[in-house]
Amino acid sequence: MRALVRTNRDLRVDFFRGFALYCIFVGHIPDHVLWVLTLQVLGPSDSTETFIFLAGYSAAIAYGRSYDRFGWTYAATAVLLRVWTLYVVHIFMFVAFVAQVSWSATRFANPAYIDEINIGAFLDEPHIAVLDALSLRFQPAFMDILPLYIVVLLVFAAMLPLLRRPAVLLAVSGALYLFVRVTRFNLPTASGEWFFNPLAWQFLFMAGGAVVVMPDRTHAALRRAGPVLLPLAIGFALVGLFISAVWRIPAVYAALPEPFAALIYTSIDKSGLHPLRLLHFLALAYLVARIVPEGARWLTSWAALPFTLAGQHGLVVFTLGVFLSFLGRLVMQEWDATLPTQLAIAVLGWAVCVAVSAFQAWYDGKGRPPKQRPASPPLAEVGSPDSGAS
Amino acid sequence: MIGCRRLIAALAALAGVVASPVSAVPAAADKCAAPAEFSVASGALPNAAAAVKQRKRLAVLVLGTGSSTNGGTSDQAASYPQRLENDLAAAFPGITVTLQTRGGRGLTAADMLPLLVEALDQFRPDLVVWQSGTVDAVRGLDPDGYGETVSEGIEKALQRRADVVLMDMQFSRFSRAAVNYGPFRQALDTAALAHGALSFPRYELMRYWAAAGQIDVERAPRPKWAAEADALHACIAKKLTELIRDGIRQAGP
Repeated sequence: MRALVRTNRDLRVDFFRGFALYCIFVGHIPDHVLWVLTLQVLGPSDSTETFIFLAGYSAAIAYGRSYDRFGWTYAATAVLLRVWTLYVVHIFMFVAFVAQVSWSATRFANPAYIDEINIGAFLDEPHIAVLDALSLRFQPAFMDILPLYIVVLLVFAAMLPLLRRPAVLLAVSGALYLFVRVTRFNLPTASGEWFFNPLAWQFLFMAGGAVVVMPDRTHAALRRAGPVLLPLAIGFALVGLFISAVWRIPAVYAALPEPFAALIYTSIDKSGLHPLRLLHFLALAYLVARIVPEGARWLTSWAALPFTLAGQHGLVVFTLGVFLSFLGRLVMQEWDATLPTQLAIAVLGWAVCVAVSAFQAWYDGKGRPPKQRPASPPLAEVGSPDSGAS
Repeated sequence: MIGCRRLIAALAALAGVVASPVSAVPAAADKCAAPAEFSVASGALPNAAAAVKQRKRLAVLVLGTGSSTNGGTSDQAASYPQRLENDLAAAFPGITVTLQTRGGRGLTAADMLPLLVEALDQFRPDLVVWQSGTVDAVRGLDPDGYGETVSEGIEKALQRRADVVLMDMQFSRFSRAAVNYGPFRQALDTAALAHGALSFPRYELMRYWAAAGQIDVERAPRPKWAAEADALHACIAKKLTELIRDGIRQAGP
């Protein structure tokens, strides 16, 4: 399997993206016990931040190269093809959701669940529900991260030319983020607002992109600022752990002065990417970049391989993971939710993701002339949008 | 605190997996048995305590949606609000306990807020048990707005010298798979902590009872639906009484 991992790129990005995708897969199965081993225990930021940031990082490499070689129209078309794939998966997930609910609801007539029966209320007006799903206004449970990714990519397609001017990219994207934070502007759904406000979250994606295209002098400045940044990042990581403890351990909450504890507990929203989440993630990313050397051997060890390989096929694994977590929820609904079953869901689900990544890697390898391997874009599926649909 | 409860519940489920063949007999003896964490009050109930200790009375308002006003029990007397009235009277001998139920099927937290205000003025309860969240989550409303509404309700109750116990959703495997309760339970816990209300973890209790094979309304065969709902409501009333007693005890003499 190790031969299937491409090594002409920063494997740290692949590993952590793979791990974030695994966390998203597990995190989308409510009551799954393995959430205690996901990124969210480290602090306010979680796998969503990691995934969006690294998606921006990878997109800037892949589409930045297309943009340099063939121009805006070509690169934007490539982005839009990916958006189309995500959109089709979103509609597929909607159909799966309809199947689950309409099938379960018929057996769910127990008057003890008189309020829950309304889960199927959208089936009373299918023409409205379908139109809402098509226009991303219907985002039922656990179907909110695909629409986020879709809109963030649309914003990215519009901002592609700014990859040549990273400072302007960050300024425009940051201004949009600030505008959304201040005005609380959000896109509407049929019943409320988007859970992940894409106009806020795009900033993290563009920040990931800006890291790729930032000029050498900025790199040098960052290196010079190391003695200041490192303690700052460590401090923020520790603050993150502290916030996580306040959120999750009642004794820690109780030990703090009430207004302060309540402030920590109530004010850090996920929907609009609260600045503390942003800073916590950036601190973690900086620390990882400093601590883990680019060619660290453990990134291709057997223990890390399932994440590194899956991380190299982000789109496939992301969409597959969304569907597999749906199946995991279904198993826990219909069959059994004991610990052995939960562990089996996690292991089997991720094994499927790794196996599909392996086939994808093998397939991509066959399609490429053996000698012209370098300079391939980090996202394997970039050049062949159809291969990402799996 | 949602994470902590999930952790406790996961560990309890693990213990249930390991110990279930051994503990089957005592479990049958007490259907309501559950880890003590689920009915320990995270704070005091000063208004309810003052009513009990000084005025020798306790007025309780139960406000909720379908699972509180018509929860599938064999009759109204078997539902948890009515049982709570009896259990509280038994728990506090010599105290006059009165209880009123408001709300109804399909009400959001925002729908219930005016009902709460009206009841606070007319009935003047010392304690409000507010069950909410299911309808908001099922309809996919905004979790932040939900949390703000609940917070507003707690503040209004406290201003009128009524303590608040917040009750979350019922557990069911289907709704767990098809509704994202997470942000709403988080918002409920947040509102409770930030405004000094107590949380009654109905979801985790029901999940525990289902995993341990004690009470499982969802998987009961149709002829047993009402009997299983009766058992559920009896146990909810019992655990709620334990929580309220603990909250009153914590308020001191």
